[in-house]
Amino acid sequence: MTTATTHRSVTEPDPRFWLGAFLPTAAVLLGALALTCSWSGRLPSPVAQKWDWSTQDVITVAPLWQGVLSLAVPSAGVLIFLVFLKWTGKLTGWGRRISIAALAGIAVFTAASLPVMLNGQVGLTDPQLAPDPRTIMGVTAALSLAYGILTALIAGGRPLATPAAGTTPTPALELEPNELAVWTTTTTAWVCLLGGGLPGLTLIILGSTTPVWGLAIPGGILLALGITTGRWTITVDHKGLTCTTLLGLGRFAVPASPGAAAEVVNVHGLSEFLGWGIRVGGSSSIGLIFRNGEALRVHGPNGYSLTVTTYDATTAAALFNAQTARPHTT
Amino acid sequence: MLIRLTPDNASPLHEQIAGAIRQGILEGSLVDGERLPAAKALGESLGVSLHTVLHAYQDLRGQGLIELRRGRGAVVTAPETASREHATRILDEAARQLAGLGLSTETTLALFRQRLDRGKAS
Repeated sequence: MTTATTHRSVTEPDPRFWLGAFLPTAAVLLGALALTCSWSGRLPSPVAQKWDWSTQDVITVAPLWQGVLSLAVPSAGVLIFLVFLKWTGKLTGWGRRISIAALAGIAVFTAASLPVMLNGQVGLTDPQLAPDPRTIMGVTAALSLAYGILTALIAGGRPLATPAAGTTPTPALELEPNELAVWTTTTTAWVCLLGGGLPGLTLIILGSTTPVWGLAIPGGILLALGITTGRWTITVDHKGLTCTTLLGLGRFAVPASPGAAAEVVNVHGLSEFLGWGIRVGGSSSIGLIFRNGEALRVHGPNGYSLTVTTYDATTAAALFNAQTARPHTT
Repeated sequence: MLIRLTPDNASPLHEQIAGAIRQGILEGSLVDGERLPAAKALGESLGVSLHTVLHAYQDLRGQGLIELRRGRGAVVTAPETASREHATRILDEAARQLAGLGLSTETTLALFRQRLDRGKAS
């Protein structure tokens, strides 16, 4: 039995997003535009917009409105895209924080670049005399990155904790009082194997064939990580759900304790988890998303959830729910 | 692969484990080359001893359903899907015809085993 993907309601109030991410970013954009407007009478016409990297000479001049179009409009576009993600429910689960960090950071950087670019030109009549703003632009980029991270922290994560309303939970398997049962399977995580293995091998080859031998060290680490996380054993037994990597080096588990529940979901890696692999959501929710399609999701107490893509997830969920219903002695 | 054990069952635990794995192989849910769980881990999950699981694995190896490889553990050696389905069709047809003869299951199995042994000997 497959239930719908769980998401929080898109209409749910989200003051931390609006007050902590959207409003400050919009304020930076409006502030940049206001500052540009206030300087417009004291700027050369046209204004300098590009500088040569080596000589630092002005190489492109253009009317002020073009500068506004090339920086403020993309900033506004990114901000609108962030709001679009919010309204379409894409900021309710996995990838919320990284989306907010990236988009808010980009919006602030492009907006702030406008006054940063024009600041040195205030009072000039010849745009060719405009100083190269690369240093202050670098500082702006670093501050924008920090701003993006800060807004993501303020906006916070959202766990995928509650089953979608109206869905039918997976019925528990009928077990005799003294019956022992285990469901186990192994799965190959090609995304981890290739994602770690290929870059790792490339770095090792580069490290051993070029003077930059140090590349072999991160290459070896990547390769080892790829191999280790490329094979998973998924087990449901009296202890609960356990997902272990090759040789048991990595392990995620949800105990079959009262209050925990398992369900079967259909997952879409890119749209729900911003990709495939080991995904970490709010409240330490974990997704082991190795492909699209059938997956087992177990909701633990306190909003924790573990989602793992596997075939025959219905049997696994039924057994997990049966184990949680049993009296526990531990 | 789901393994269910009933300790009160007349059948020993290792036979129940082997039976569940055999069923998975014959139904096609365990495919050729698939690795079975490590005996120690499976024993811990089921609450049975390592010896019980190893006993089940050795029975399955004796039946040609798995191989026990050093360093790789127990690996399924399932028949090809086409061969398995063909065999299933033949046996379904034979079972349908034998049911009409009124022979006991034991007699039918004994006759069938006799034919299989004769086929191997020739």
